This record gives sequence, C-alpha cells and structure tokens, in this order.
Amino acid sequence: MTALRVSDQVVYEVIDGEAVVLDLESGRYFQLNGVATRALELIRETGDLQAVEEQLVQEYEVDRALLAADLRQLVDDLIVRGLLNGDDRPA
Amino acid sequence: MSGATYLLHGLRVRSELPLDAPSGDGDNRDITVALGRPRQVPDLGPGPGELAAVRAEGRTFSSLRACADGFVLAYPGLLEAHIDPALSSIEVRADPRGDNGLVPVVVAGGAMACVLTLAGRLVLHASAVEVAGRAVAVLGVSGAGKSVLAAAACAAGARHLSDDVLRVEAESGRVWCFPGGRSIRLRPDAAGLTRHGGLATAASSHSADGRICVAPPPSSEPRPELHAAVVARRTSAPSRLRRLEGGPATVALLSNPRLAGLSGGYLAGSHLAACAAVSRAVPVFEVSLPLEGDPVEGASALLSDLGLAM
Repeated sequence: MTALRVSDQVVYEVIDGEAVVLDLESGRYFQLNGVATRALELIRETGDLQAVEEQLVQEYEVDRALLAADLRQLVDDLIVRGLLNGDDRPA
Repeated sequence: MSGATYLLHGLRVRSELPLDAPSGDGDNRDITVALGRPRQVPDLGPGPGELAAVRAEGRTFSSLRACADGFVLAYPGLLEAHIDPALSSIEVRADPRGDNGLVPVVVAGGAMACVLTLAGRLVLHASAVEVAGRAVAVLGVSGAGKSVLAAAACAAGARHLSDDVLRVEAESGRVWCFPGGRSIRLRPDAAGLTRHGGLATAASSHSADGRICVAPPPSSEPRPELHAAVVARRTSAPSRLRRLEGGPATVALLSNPRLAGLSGGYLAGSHLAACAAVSRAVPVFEVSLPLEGDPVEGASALLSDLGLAM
C-alpha cells in the first residue's frame, strides 16, 4: 500500500469545492480543482492511496484506469512540491 | 503626548504627525505615532530578521524586519518606522534627504497596514467606495486603476471609503470595511476627474510626489458591509466584468495584500483563512478597465452591473 500524509507545512481552505493549498514554508499557494480537492481530503482522512482511489471511483463516473493514472500523477506532483509525504511499502 | 487623535482603518490613532484622516474622539487610543529624530535611512538590502520586502532592479522600496525591540519598517531615503512589540506605538524617523510631504501618507497608509497585518488583520491593496451603505472594494497592483475607479465612482455619486489601503473583517458570513484617510491620490493624467460631478466641489491639493489629492464626500457609515470585491486590470480591450468562483476568488484576494513581499509563510496561514472567509461571503469579480473612454461613465456602469444603482 502507499501511505500518504498531508505535510505539516501545508494549510488549505476549500471554497466552493476547490482548494487553495498554501505551503507555509515558501508562502507559495496552489489551486486544486474539484476532484483533486476531494482526493486531498480523502488522503487526509485515510492516508491510503488505494482507499482514495476506491472512494473516488464510487463518487465520480470515470474510468478506473484513467482515474488511477490521474490520481498517481496528482500525488507525485504534490510530493514533489513538498505538500504531501509519501511512503511506498508492501501491503 | 501632543498632537491629535484620528480614526484610521478602525484604529484610534494619536499622532504627533498631522494625518489626512477623520478626527477620533478624546484621549482614547489604540496606537500612538511619535516623531523621532531625523536620520538617514539607507538601503541595506536583505538582512537578518526580514519579514517582508519590495525590491526591484536592486533597489529596496520598502522592507519590514523584526528586531530585538519590535519591528522596523523602512522606506530607504524617506523614513523608518519603529513599531513596538505590542503594536501600540510607532516612532517615525524621517530621512532629511526625502520629501517630508510623503511621510504622513506613508504613516497613514503603509505603516498602519503593516501594524494591522502584524496583528493578524486582513488589509488589502484596495480602494473602496460606498453606495447606500454597501461597500465595493477595488483591488489591484499599483497602476491597475484602483484610485481612478474609486474617484470616478465618487464623481458618479458614490461616497469615499478608503484609498490604496483597505482593512476588512469577515464575521459570521458577512464582511465589514473600515474607512481610511480622507483623500484619494490620483496621478496627474487623471486630474480631469476632479472636474466631474461629485468631485467638482471636493477639496483638492497637490501632493509632494506630484499627485492630485482629492477628498470626495466621505462615507457616513462607520463600518459599511462589503457588497463585492473587484480586481482591476488595465487593458486596451473594452470593459468586461467577470465573476471569479471558488479557489480563483480566494487567490485573487490573497494576491493583493497591502503589505507586499511577505517572505515565506509568515502570516500566510492567517491570510489564507481570512481571504477564504471573505470570498465565501461576498462575490469577487475581475474587471478590465479600458485605457480609453469616460471613467465616470465606466464606474457608473460597473456599480450598476454590481447591483448598486445611484
């Protein structure tokens, strides 16, 4: 499984379903669309990428493979920016 | 302490330095402004304790740094303001090489915005007018047309609320605005506005930096409610009003703090929360301001589009 945790250096606010994510260390902020915002909230709640994927498939009528690829890309992007801490380990 | 008491951005300010602001009452005060001995204020560049700075082409326009006995807000070549840790007093030391006429402008604007920001308040880089008890904030970078739009709105019948500095407070799903100084500072190319409508009889003067200061009829509301926030942008295209939704609305507010250049995440968390609260409570728009055309007609049409008929 992939354990994920929203970084301690991050705060965010959700406005009309879209998050503005602020990196407290750099002062930079990022906007997330609705689906990415939901993903971030689920990551915070569960910390489990597979559980997040499962929940999003149920909530949005999208192809699972496509969603999984987009989700992985989002997570990688957030990790690179230091907004998310990831820990890949065997299930 | 000698001087007078003023009401600025919701603060009762006792100041030795005359300020272009409405009078406050009696001896009650939230902050005092004292005049220290003049001294040269050099451009020291980046240094330890720096919390905010605005620099361009190797020159520092303003900087704020924390020091052992509070904070120092510096405008090299013009003034240095020492702010105590409790944010209850400012000692202003003017640079003898600078233009003294600008000192009260900076104290009433930038220095008060700095104190309020350090206190965790949301202070926007915005001008504001009031129509029938409802306020419209015009945000934008320097040169975006904030003051021109506010002055044009006043020429069309709106009441003046604040120029260039706007403190707002979100509370229980509503947002309140605090009046600032008396005047709007216009660049010389906007001087023609002072001959229009509600500005024709307003007191006006020339400031030390060549601007025209006009004092339109002020809002009589002590704390009018914010009706809409408008982010102004100069353009050669026709005027266009576009509503910003969700995240972009919050980002538009976050991008226009009066105390610019805050480093890292200093105060950013509280700013994000405050901007989010404002954008949840009031609509945020982006408006293109055409370089050509009658600004008074444009302002009147904008207020009408925002549902504020005069």
